Amino acid sequence: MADHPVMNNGRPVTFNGGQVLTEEMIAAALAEAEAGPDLSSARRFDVRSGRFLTPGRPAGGGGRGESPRLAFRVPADLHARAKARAKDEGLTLSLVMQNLLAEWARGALSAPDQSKPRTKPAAKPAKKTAHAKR
Amino acid sequence: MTILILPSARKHGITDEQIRYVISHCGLPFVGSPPDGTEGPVRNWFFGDDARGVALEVFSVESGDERRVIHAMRLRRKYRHHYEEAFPWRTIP
Repeated sequence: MADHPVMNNGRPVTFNGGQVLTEEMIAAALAEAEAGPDLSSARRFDVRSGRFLTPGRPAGGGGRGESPRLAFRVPADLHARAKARAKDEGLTLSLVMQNLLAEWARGALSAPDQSKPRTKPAAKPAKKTAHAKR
Repeated sequence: MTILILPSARKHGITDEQIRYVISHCGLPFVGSPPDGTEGPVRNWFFGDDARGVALEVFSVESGDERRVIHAMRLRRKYRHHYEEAFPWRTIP
């Protein structure tokens, strides 16, 4: 059975510089999309630069230009909980933090209230010294 | 590039306005080829929010200077990682 070309203004629509686009190709692509294909080998196209990103470890924070590295400390339990949720959602902590930072930088998130006193660990009892014994 | 939205793209209740919003704000589409052994146009996946912040996935094929959108729906869990990856690349048209 012959394929049915997609027409536009009475002319067959082409792609890749000459191949005729058919209704069957559209139907196949639709079935593929509904099924949810694996995109692990898909290339990333940077709209602003008009270029594909180089495969490999992507630059962070939007990937444009340099991507400075940030390092900071968090409580162990927070790290464990965040890591568990990221894993559960198929994400990485790096992605989560990049997006949170981006949201905060554009004003969509509030920073913690710095006017409140920070919690400090309880002070250790003073050691008894020879002077104190007297 | 002209955007043509086919009826199949509205099957899941996503409007043309939502589709165009996601495409116009997506700075990092994912580009794929037809499955092995088949012919067809380049595939594009756009992940992003509509104007109300609803996370969506939009799928199109390219032919010449036309983009045919054939699928759109609320973001599926399996593409959450791609959505998050594209998030910092969002553009303001």
